[in-house]
Amino acid sequence: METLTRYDLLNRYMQAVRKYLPFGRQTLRQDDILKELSANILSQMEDKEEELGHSLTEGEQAAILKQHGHPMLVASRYSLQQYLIGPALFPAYWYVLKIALVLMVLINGVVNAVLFAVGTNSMGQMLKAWLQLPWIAVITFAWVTIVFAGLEFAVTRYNTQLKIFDSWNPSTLPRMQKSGTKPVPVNALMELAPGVVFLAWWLLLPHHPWMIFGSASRFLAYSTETHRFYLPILCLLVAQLGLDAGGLIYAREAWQKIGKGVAAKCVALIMFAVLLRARTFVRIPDAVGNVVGYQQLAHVLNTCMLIGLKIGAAVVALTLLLDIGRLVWGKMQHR
Amino acid sequence: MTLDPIQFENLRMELRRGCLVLAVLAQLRAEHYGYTLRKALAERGMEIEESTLYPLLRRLESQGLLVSEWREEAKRNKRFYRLSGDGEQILQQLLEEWHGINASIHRIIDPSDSQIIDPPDSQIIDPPKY
Repeated sequence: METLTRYDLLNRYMQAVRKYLPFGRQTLRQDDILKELSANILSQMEDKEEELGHSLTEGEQAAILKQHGHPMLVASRYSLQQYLIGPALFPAYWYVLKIALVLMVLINGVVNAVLFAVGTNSMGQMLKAWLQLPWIAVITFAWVTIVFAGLEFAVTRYNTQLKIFDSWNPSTLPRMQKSGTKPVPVNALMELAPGVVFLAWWLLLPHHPWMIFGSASRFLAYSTETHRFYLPILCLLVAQLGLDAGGLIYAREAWQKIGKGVAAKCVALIMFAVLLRARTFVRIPDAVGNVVGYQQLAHVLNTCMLIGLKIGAAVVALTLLLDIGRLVWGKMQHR
Repeated sequence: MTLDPIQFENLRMELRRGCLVLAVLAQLRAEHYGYTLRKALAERGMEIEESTLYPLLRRLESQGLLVSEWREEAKRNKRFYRLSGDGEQILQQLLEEWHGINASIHRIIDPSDSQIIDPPDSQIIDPPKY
């Protein structure tokens, strides 16, 4: 018992290590670890005393314990090494996570646009739903991580090997890209030009109605409803331009280009949904007066624009379905 | 390019990690308890931190490569470890592997020692450009 009083600091150290040791319910196992650790440290202290020719001071004892490491660190070395998601599973985890996040954004965007278009949700509710996207992304991230962490735990626990990367065939790899297909920077920028021009046109419209009405701008004006959809459409145009730019930089494979097209068409559908919420686009200003001919013209224009938008939305929806079909078919061919 | 000391340290640790098990198994052909084992390894140039060595001993024992017993020595109970039958077999296999790796590295470092014959120039095909 002499050592217990001589090496008070050591006992305190052991107590601290026990606090962090695994096997919390197996006190015998913990006792065994601490007894062994204590015996080793005592031997080291005795060696040091022999070397110095005197009993160790508190500072000298502390130096030896410090060399062993923080109690938490020392205790942690006795636990089983466990990854949340180990290197064998991580590539699959990262791939699934990216797909899940993209799908989450697409599905939410389309569902919200449809709910808005059919009149279930108001513009405010749609914007609110979009503002919740980061939170939904966090939940998606958490679920994917939990599933893969569970898989990792099962693989470690039952000491099995995952064979998800074993069943692949080199002959299904994508064909080599021809060097000529890579767009040169000038051509790439030219692909963005229509989007940039349209955006500039949209920005100029509020102050220059003649850019849409021509000479008819003398007796035609925007309806009050146009002010409500102007800003959302502006945001969507910027998003579409961003998608186009991103596609030019990153979309190298054919399927990536189709994927970019799918995303762009989804954005376009949302734009159509926003526009179709409006029933009138033009009106006759009060200053012009209640001339019957002008009122009829405004009515015809509004009807034509509505029909045109519906046809446009149907065409985009159809091409979107075709793209999705090509994407799925292409993926199946690669298998 | 400047040398990153942290990068070197990480690579050094990675290189040492596998060798530590080999060194511990080899040293435990003779019986030791934790502290004397650490001293014996250090005397032969293989310094190991206590917080690495002691848990490693338990792990190797749980894998059946070591056996241990509590025994009194110098008026204190200590846990003595030595190589088990399985441990001896594994050690032999690991040593063969280590010698093989060592020889390969030497051949790579010193090409005059290499047995690999370079193909004639006509057979060399340029790799595709990506």
